[in-house]
Amino acid sequence: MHRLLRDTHLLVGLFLSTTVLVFGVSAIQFSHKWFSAEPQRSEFPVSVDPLEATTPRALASYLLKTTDLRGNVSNIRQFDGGRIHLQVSRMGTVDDVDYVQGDTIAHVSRSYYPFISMLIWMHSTFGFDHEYTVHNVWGALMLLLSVGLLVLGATGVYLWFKMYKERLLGSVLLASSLVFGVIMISILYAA
Amino acid sequence: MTLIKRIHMYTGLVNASTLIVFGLVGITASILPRSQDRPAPKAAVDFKHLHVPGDLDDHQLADHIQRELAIPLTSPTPNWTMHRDADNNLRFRLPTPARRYEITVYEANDRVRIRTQPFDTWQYFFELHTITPPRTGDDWRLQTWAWYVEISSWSLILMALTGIYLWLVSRPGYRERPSQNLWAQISLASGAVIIIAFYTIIR
Repeated sequence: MHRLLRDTHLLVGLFLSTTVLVFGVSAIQFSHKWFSAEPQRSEFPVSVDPLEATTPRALASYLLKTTDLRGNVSNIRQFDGGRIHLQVSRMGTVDDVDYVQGDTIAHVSRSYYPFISMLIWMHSTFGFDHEYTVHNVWGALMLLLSVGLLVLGATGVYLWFKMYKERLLGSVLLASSLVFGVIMISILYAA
Repeated sequence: MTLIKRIHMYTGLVNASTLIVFGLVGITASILPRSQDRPAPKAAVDFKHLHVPGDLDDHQLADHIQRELAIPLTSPTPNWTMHRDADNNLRFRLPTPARRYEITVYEANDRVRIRTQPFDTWQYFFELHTITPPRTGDDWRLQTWAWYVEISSWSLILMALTGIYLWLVSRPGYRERPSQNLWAQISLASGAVIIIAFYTIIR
């Protein structure tokens, strides 16, 4: 049993260590914004077959099939005069598309975010309800990480508890953490 | 026992509360519908008489109302929550970790409507994990929790690095179990490769 839990702690910990680093660094950036997160912007035209782009959704599908635009389609707006605006976004890249129905060209304005922003995106992309499949795959990894954190915590507590010399100080620290946590969570809820 | 091992172990024990919160938030955010798609707890509505000065712009007025109401854990109104409704009444939100206060100001009547929308448990935990020192006001309760979350974020980094270090320096002790050492190498490498591959693909 001891060997199983020790190996579990080691293997799960090593597997998740890179992801944990991503989350730790992005949490610090979330908090302090120490690094610039300004995107590089560029603009370019893309060819459109007007017969394939009769509605905003049809335009989006066409662009996803025929260009390098990838991601979730959102912020779809249709204006007078047949002008369509929509956004195609994936982690770290946002493409704003402007198109006038009947034209053979759509204009894309791309915001390409730096590495640190990508970490923030990774931190805040979760769940399985994304249109873009790659984001759902990432969502699965996030679920794995979250379960892994609890597994690491549980096996870590077991491994510590088996070290008799460390029990006294460890018990004080663990109890302090749990009591402090419960009190703070209760206080913030009741306030 | 080595100093690094003690640091690794005690860092985990000291941060047990937040690590449990982080884990639960990650699991529930992954498997539950988004908060806006879940049934919200029942909201409460209250009215208060409050002198509304006429010489303030919208932002100053919202700050004035926030100070006068003195709702615990609220900070000055975020700009993005303010707007004028169809009747030209100023509306804004005052969020706290456990609930959101939606304020409507009836300037002509010196009256304020306060709609209190509580969050469900999992939304509350989600909000808790986002509280960090620069994003809190002066309230000591929020500040205390925020610093705990901040320390936990640094601790995650510390635990990952010390964990890898401990494995590296303890490997010779496992030579009688080469299969375990091989699996450890595979675990570390596959975890890193997955992240790097994902990053590369999505870029």
